Amino acid sequence: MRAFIFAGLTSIVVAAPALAQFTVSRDGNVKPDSIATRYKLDFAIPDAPAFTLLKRDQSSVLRPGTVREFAAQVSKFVSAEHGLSLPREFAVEFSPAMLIGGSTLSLSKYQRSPALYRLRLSAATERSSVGFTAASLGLRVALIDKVDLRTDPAFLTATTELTTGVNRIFADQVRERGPRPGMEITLDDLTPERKAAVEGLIEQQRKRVTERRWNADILDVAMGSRGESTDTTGKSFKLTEYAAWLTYGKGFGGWGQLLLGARTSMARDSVSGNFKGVGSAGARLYAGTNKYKVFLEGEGELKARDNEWLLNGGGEARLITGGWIQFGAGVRWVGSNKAELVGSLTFKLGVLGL
Amino acid sequence: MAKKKKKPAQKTAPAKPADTQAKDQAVAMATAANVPTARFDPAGGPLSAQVSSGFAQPGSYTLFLWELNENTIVMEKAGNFLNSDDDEYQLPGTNAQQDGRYAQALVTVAITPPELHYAVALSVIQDGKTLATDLKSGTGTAGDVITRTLWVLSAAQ
Repeated sequence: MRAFIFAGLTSIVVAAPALAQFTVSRDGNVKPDSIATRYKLDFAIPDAPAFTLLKRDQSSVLRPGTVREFAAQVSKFVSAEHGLSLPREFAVEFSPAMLIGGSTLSLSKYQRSPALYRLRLSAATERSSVGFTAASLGLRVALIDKVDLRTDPAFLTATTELTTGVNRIFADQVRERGPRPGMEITLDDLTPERKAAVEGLIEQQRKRVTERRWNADILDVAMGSRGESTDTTGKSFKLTEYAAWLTYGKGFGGWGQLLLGARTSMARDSVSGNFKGVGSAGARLYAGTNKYKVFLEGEGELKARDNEWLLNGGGEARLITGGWIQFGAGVRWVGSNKAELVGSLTFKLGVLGL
Repeated sequence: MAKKKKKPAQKTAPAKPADTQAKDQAVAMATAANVPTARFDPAGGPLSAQVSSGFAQPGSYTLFLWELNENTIVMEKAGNFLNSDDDEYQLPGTNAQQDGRYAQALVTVAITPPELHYAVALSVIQDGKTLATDLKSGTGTAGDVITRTLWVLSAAQ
């Protein structure tokens, strides 16, 4: 084995609305603020196509995920002198339909066209210290998403029965106390018996949501393009890559998920300036629980010359403070060269918006 | 003897009927309590109340219509958001009877991830036009069950 390549990447993903906050200490650790600690992302954070292209991540498996209204991602905020700097990579991913019409979106309207609301756009930029600038745009849609509880009739029926039960208890209290215009009725306004009954129902619902399957079937389609400029003004900006992904996730019991992915791209050759096609396919098997899992993946990339092969393994864990850590190490073969070790470390933090 | 000048008769506003006073009081109270007021046309079409839940959050509601200055429930309807087509209710009685009535909605939503926002609303509608809306919105955590109270006062123009 000729070399060991460690691709250290620390990134922050901000889910839900913007204005979320985090702090980064001198040693590069990212700590969520008090608001952030209130929210722990339930499921692993999906990859945004634009960010994947920006990072030149050639992985054929684009991690799928259920739609979020807004997500942002930053990385490379530790400078060469090991001090903190403004992030050199920044990406956002959002669902335009949810952002525009989310507050008036009824459940039945969502169910009539879930693909529209699951469609996400992403954009990413990178600036380098030597004046090089890159930007990418991405689009992703989940054609199948069984993780999405708003399209699960059994869940919705059970949930609606429960909310009807809670509402009935509050209504009993309202009838007894009469109208108090402008006043909210809260749990503390209920009699002890009613309050206990409502709390019991809420606990039941929390358990139901927690127990949903992290590995439910999902099918994601994504595409994106990347461009570069050799200066900061963007005058010499030109497209350098187009890519498309197809990822299918299949769950096994409560313990596993197999992701099958394919990626095809046209990338500009840095010497000739001509576009050349590249295709890759891979499979990744996750085993464990939602909070802690290990994975094993293999993938191959077919090029005009020097095909690449990768065998990789690692783990993923949800952090107590909220967020996820992903790590992996493996072996890569390029053409007839000897194998080389590769590694990666990714930190993703989901925080609650305001 | 100098003639005493007659004092001009003190002008007083004509006494309002008791129900008008009560309505004015209700409007003042609604304004103070930040309750939206639906100013309706007495000669227009019938009023209706609509309950809704945004961000595709599932849930249930109870809609009350309270008589002016009484602990009397004129109408009570319960429903859910599985189907949004049946969440609008015509208010019973004539338009004149709606003057000063409060609509109250208790709305319970279950925060269903990945969406953690909710927005619930109660609107009073006349002839297809929304006259007033009480909207409560916020963010919860996955699995939360949240109950909010919404109010709209109906008052003739």
